[in-house]
Amino acid sequence: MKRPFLSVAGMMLAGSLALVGATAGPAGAAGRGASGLTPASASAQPNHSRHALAADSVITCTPNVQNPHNSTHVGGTVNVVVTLSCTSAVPYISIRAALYRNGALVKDSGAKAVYGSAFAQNNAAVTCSSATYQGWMSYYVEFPPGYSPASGASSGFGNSVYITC
Amino acid sequence: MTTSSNALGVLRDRVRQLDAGPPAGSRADQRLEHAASVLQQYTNTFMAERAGSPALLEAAEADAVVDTSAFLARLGAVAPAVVRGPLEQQAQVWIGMARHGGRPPSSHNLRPARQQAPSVTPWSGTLFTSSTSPLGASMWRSYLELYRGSDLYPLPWHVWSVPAEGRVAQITGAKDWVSLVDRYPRRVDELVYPDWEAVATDFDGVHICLRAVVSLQGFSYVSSRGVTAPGYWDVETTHWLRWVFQRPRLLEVVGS
Repeated sequence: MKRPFLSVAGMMLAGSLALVGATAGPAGAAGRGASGLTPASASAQPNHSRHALAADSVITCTPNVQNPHNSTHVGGTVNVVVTLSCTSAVPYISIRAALYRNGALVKDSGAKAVYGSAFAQNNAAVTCSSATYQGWMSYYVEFPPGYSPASGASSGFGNSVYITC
Repeated sequence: MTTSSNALGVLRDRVRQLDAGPPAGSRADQRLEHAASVLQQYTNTFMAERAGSPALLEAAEADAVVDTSAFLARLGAVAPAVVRGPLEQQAQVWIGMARHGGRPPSSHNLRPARQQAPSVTPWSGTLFTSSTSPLGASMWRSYLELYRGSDLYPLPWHVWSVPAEGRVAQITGAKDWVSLVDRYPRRVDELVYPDWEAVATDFDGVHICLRAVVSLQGFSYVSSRGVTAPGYWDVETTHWLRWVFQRPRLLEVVGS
């Protein structure tokens, strides 16, 4: 059974996509058909960003599912990059990417662990076949001791784009 | 055809993103990783969605916007060869992936330019290098770090020093790129590409400086020969058109 969706702001300066979804299950279990919000919609809900409060500071981590694209450096490949950018280093980030082709899961990166960083990235790539592609990500972040909440997690889809090989 | 205000806005956003990071206290090499992280977002599908098709700019205007970047100015003060050139030919690095089997680069990596499909890069399977600098590892090495663990660039990575000695065209910004395309045009349909076979008659390599990558990535430009095809480099890069290297020396094996 699907859990209720929450909006998670995914705003970056350019090319950002809003993420939708609070499920943390495997990619195939994530809500298909969920569409990415526009950046403007996401920016109207800043209080939905994953963040942690300390006495004198806030760490905000912003997820982003980039558009799937033709890989620049590996010919004949479609790639999607997902990122989590935090305003300060955090002890631990787990980040996972998946790629869908015409609505079917074609690649799951598996979880990547990043320690002591303000930034994490993962990707999912497959051999190119002209079709509609959509990226997905999930993340889990642990904030430094003393922050509340101690951790955060979410998942969601990016834009659907048609790619010609 | 007219230039696009959307396109100029996207370029300004790119500069703002560069200037926003990396986080305070970052190591020198993380500055190149930050730049690679920003630039890789500007993919073909992103540009089509946000900047229009073609995302057309005037070279002088674009270079002027890029020159407002405080991030690039700081980086250029430390590593001028990476940001604006000229290329430091003795500081070139080539990185072999798992599929290269740990072998150093050789002239076999260079394929003939003849009969290739039109492209903003010389040819598929091209031999390209990136520069080490006082910032540490090359920008390509920093880019790969973003992909550590990915099967797109499978480990191990063999990092080879490949000192070069050749005639290199310096592309420091959009104006230089337009000049190159104007001088060596290859028009196909509505777009103009460099005629790499013609470029190779005068040069051994073409250095795309970081300042130029920021100006060029994903954008088309107005040239006297028509509208230039957009290119995607992500990192400071030199494309080599013939073998001009001294004996490669293994610097590092990552993930063996």
